Amino acid sequence: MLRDIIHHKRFKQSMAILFWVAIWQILSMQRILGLFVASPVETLQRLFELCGTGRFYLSVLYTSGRILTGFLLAVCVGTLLAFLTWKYEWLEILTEPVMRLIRTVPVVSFIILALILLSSRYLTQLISFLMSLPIVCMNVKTGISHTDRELVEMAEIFHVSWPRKLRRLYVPQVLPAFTTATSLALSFSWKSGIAAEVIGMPTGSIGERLQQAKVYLNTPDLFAWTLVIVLLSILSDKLWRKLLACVK
Amino acid sequence: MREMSGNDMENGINASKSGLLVLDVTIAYDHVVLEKFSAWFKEGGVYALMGPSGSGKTTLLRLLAGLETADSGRVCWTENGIEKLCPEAGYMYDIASKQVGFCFQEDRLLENRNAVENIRFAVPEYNQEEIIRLLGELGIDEQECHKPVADFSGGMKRRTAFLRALLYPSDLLLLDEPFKGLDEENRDRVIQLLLKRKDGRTVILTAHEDAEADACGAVIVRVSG
Repeated sequence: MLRDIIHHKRFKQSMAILFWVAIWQILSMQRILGLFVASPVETLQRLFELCGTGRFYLSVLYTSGRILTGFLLAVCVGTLLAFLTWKYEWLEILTEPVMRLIRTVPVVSFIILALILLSSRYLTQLISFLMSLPIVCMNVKTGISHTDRELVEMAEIFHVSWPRKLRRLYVPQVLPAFTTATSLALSFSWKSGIAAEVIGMPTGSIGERLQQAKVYLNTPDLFAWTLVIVLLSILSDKLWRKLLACVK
Repeated sequence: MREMSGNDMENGINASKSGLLVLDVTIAYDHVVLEKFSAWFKEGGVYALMGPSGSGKTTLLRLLAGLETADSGRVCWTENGIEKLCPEAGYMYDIASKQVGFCFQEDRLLENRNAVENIRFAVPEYNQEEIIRLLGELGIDEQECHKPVADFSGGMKRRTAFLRALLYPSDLLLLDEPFKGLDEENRDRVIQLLLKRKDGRTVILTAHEDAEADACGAVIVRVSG
């Protein structure tokens, strides 16, 4: 029984997490470093304190709503664009430089440009959207291109209607690539969205709270908010995968 | 057992019969697959294309289905002796204008779907009970009908692909090696159902043995590349 538990993958993963938490604890106990690194206990204490305030939930809702809006928009536009660029070569050639530009230009450049051109209210959505779009578009297009040509030919011979082809033929074959792409895009959305908020500081956002923690050198706050972001990112990824599994 | 001769073609057309005319068709990729091949398939007839591997049987079926183009020659539907669709050489005749039921050599089934769903993918108007009954006639019981075809044996996949082509409302039924991987009992089941449900359609199949063609009452058409 005990041996079974020890050899279980979950147990091993838990042990790995505990190992790194122990390292974190040791670092926070160092004399100099300890001034800048909040201990795990301090972080959790601060997190519980934050959870008791209404402002915490407002910030979580504000940021999550905006990041997920940008992400979902990127999923819709990226999927449509993937299909269109797969179908029309001229469109692929036309959009390729833009996609390459988005992939290579540092996210900070986009944030600053967006701050000049737009209100900081729309910054999070825009940056999440921009960072997710090429990932979704490229990977979904690859998925569509790898659809079994023989099955497509079979569907053509039997004059299968488009909705039926989409549901029974394309979706099941593109879904694995779509799941990987959107999961990756979602984590990018969180990273880039939060970075945008830290620079643009929209009122009431998690980014603003992080910036305040930095200004006041409030490391327990910084660590607690970082933990919240990690948990939100993991939670949204799990929910997204669950949703896609239902489609499958 | 009867084999197609050059006279069949001339007599058929002269007698103002309806059917499918293949005239001097040549298809080549990096080598010649079919060279000046001609045949006339009378409407409602059953024909078996026979020839060694690589002689161009599958290519000919694909041409008739509109999936290949000929480098020269032509394919025409004749109705009462009049050529209805008479495209130029190399032109792929419009498959939308003629319905073709095709049983592909590689089955081409949706592996994660069951047999009924696979058939209804092509013929959604058929109800589930009728499909299960017909699959039963082919030796696939009701319990197996609900399993994903990925779990099927090669023979079961073959019969499912055959039934999908058979049930598709078509003018022309093309069966590429419909008996591949089937034992004698299942081969007879397929033939019985084919003859029972062909409903006046022209059937062209590929076969390796004379006995298979004979059992279908098919006219043999030799394809030699």
